[in-house]
Amino acid sequence: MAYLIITNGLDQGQLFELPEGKHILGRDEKAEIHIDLSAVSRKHASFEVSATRTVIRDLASSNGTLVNDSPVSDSIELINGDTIQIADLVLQFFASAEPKAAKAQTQNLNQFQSTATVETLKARSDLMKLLRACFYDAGFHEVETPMLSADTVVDRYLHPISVDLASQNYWLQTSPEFAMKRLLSSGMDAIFQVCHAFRNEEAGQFHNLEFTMVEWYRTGDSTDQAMDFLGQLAMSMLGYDEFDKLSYQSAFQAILQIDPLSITEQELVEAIASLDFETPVDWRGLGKDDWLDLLLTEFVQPRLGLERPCILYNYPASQSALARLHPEDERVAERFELFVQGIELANGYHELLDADELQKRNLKTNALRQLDDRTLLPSDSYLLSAMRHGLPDCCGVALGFDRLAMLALGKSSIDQVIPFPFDRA
Amino acid sequence: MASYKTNDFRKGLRVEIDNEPYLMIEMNFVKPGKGNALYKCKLRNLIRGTVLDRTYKGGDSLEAADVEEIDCQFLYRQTDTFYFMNNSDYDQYELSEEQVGDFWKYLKEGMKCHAVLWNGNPITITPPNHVELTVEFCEPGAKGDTATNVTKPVKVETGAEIICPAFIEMGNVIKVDTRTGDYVERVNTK
Repeated sequence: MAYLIITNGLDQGQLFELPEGKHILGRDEKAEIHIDLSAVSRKHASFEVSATRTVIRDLASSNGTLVNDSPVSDSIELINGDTIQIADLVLQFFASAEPKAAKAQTQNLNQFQSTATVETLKARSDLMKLLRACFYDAGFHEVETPMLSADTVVDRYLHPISVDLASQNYWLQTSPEFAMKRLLSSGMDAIFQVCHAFRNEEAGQFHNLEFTMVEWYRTGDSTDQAMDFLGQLAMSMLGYDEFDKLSYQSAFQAILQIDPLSITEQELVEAIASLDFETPVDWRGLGKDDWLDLLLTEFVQPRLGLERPCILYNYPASQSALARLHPEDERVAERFELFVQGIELANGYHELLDADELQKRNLKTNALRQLDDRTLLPSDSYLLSAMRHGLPDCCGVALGFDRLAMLALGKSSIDQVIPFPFDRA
Repeated sequence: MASYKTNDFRKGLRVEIDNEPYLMIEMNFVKPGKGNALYKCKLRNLIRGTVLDRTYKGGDSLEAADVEEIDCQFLYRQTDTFYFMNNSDYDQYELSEEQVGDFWKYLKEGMKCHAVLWNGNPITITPPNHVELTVEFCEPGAKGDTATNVTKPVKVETGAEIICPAFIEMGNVIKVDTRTGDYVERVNTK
């Protein structure tokens, strides 16, 4: 059997079978190869297929038919691999092949291409230039730290990729946090880095396994100062005049009439049952923080940053990660996140300085990872030594550059701003 | 039986839920900054065609469904039972009229079809998009009536009634679109 496969545009990969006989390609709904494009004539071209040969005939179409870039004046015999161009549409002809093999062949042909357009890649480069200027103007120094390190951030839900080298385990960094803090302990005071971060198992509209992260630290900053810098940065990069700050507690109270800090797990589960949304099939093992995360993702986040960038701050202490607890309210941590158009863009901390506390958190996280049947991560690290030596009081923020570019350029998924997403990396 | 972890979830996966086969038609990965990942899936029931919304959290898993697509041939019909044969291993399948669906009225002996098997049993059969059928009975058209906008119902060999242009006569072979039941064109048989 012969096949035609569309190799460009939205219908890329669509396959038409050409059994023996005559087949019409056209805009007409009755055409066997129905192409609904205005530049395609109602009866544009025909394919006459016999056991041994396939002939394409242009049916006096308004915009013509090209085979291997030459116009078809009347008819021409197709040979395996010929490309047929009709208006903007490019099809490839396969004389006889299994449909799956034919499809795989065309996919391979196109996999080399960038999923982001040239125009987008150039605009992304301009954004990066603007971003770097914001940091240099504020007195930051750009640094570069190892992407492959013996240390890794210990987090229950981050899955670093391990690399075995010289009989030792190294990790592709899920963020450059540990190494950048070691630089602060070594004497640097305002640093930023643009690098790739790797998080296994993350793929989707807003996730790619390898992504571009912008991370910065400044010693002496209060949480307010760090949030202001982040808000200003979002304003200049995305063209807003203002930004909002909203506490985690007030956001939940305003949107869901729930006080996330005082509510018990039991009350939370009851509150969720009254809401119209699809909870996970298997509820076992979900704790209060998981439920709060569900509510944040489903109900709170979609309403954040719709008018202007919004920074959510004072996360529950149980979700502190590497942030210090608030000195005046131990129920919350000095952690904040930036949301624009309901999309999470950045996460920041007034950094935890206490080495013993970090080690305690690492051990607890590893216990939870064991419960989840996950690899244990090294709880000892160069960072712990740096903190024991003395980490200066500082704030740090990590921002996902691909998502920022996506919003700045009006795109709907990150593969539109990344040249080679993981499936064609 | 094999199972898929959330990490393997993607569009096109065939899974079993509550003892029925489903096709994952949409999968959205959602993850709060520091929380567990959620996999929001739309799944189509491969028997009934209904769509199910399900959310899974990182670490959950689904059973893989033993689903296979094959080419087969319609053999014959005996009262309400339709017999098909697998073209590669010559296995035969019996399907009820309900299982075959509306297009039973275009089925001609020897016709090539496409089937989906679940645990070795056919759950859906799809005919070719276009089939050629002989007109068995129709009212004669008025002489000289060659316009295509004048139509009449005709009965084809498989028993289906098709609306055709008035110039179609008994014994003509016509091409029919099985998805819509529409007349496509008259086929020259010489």
